[in-house]
Amino acid sequence: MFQTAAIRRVSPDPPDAPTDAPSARPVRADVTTTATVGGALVAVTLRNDTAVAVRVRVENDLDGPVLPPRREGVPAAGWDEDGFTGVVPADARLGIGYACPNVDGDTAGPADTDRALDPISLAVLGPAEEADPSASDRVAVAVRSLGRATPPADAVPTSAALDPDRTDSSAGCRPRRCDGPAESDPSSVPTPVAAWLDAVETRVRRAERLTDATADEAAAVLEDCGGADGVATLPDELQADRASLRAAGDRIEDLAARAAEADPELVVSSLLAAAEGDTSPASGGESTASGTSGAGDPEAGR
Amino acid sequence: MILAITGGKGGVGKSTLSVELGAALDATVVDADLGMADLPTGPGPDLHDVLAGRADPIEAVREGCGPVRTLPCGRSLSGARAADVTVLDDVLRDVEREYGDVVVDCPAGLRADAGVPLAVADACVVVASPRRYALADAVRSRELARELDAGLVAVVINRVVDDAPTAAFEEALGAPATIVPADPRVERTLEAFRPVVRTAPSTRAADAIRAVADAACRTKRV
Repeated sequence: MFQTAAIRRVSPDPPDAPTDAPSARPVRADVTTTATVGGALVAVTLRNDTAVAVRVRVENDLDGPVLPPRREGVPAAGWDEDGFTGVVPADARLGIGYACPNVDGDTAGPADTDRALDPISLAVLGPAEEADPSASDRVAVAVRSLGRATPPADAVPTSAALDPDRTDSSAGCRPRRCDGPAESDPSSVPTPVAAWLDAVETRVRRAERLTDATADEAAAVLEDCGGADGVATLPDELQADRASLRAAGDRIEDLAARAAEADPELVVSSLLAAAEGDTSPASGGESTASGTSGAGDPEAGR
Repeated sequence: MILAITGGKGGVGKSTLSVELGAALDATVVDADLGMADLPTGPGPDLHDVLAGRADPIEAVREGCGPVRTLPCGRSLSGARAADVTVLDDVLRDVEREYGDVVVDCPAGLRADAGVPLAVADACVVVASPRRYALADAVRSRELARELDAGLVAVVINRVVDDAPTAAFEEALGAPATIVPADPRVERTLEAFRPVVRTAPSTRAADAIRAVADAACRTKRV
């Protein structure tokens, strides 16, 4: 599922720094960048060779946003939108990692990872001190550790909430669409329109899943679509869908407004009454009787 | 000051006590029970809308609609799904800045919706019923409050009919326990939206509630 284009170890320290002087560089970092479809996974091992815990700042230098590890939807402790701040314990190692999608849509290839620029920059902020967690930190801790108490999603699927990925090729021939009852219901959408909307919904759902997606989420979508080819045309299709939806929406709105305004009932009933009046002499007594009862007492005829 | 009313178990009287303390402290009562709200609501935006980013916290506060200023919570499941509990921090601070003291009615349980108010609050009151089994839940809530740095103002043993195991509660929770005697007028506080500290201020229940409010005020001054 992942295409590992390149794995490379880099040191974020300047090349002219003395490598055998741990006091000059209390913390060193080994960075492994793994290119995947749509982005890169960055793994950083921070080594602290000194006898004191050190606070460090790791910032992303790749071209793209940082997608930090999350728990319950909240970034893990120490992560913000540019990187990570944390403490490396004395004489110990700390492993961190994040994903970085390519904003410009390029696939991170060898050219990307072989360039001279290091994927991260490392700054030592000094010895670690006991920091009093702020209220917002405590909120994040509470959500991460306790878990959100959101009610479960709707248990009964509605037509809008049907799994879109299962309807790709068979949108038009799902049983609930082809069944008679669905079509006889005046409030339901006609089958061809529903099929078109379902197809659009599939693409929109995919596009939503790929919007600001982590590498794992993107990989899951790719797996569902059968590889990169499956999503290659998605941006263009989405563009076309936007135009069609807007046009259809305008037309539907226009027609709905006109349909609400129009009131043919009165004229139609009088036309029908006139037509029945015209035909009654020629078609005999039975017709006349029913015509009379219909005009005089509509309820009686039903 | 932001005061969280918590207590682990449901039905021990957290919402009732929130309204009573809100009246005693002249505070704004926020119904943070996102899944099963209790406080009276009405037309207008509620906490679900605020936490979903659809409304401003200040415009959702009901003022002059009853004896206590409230920020009620919606009743719908879809509202509870859309509400982002991490925003509660800013919401409570906005309300405190605008109206002063805030009393937060926490939900039962120990999930994030119960934890976040404690993480934001300056202090908390743990409510328990006078049963042996209630003590375990009170201890769990107390531990959660300690982890999230919400100081314990008082333990309230609610609806006491005979002798309450006060000593056991005080020993297990490490805080003075206040006994609120069972009183049919207190039972009707939520239903009628009439706190006894206003309607029957000379009752023993109202005395007990005022004692808790005084303890909260002393915490504020320190």
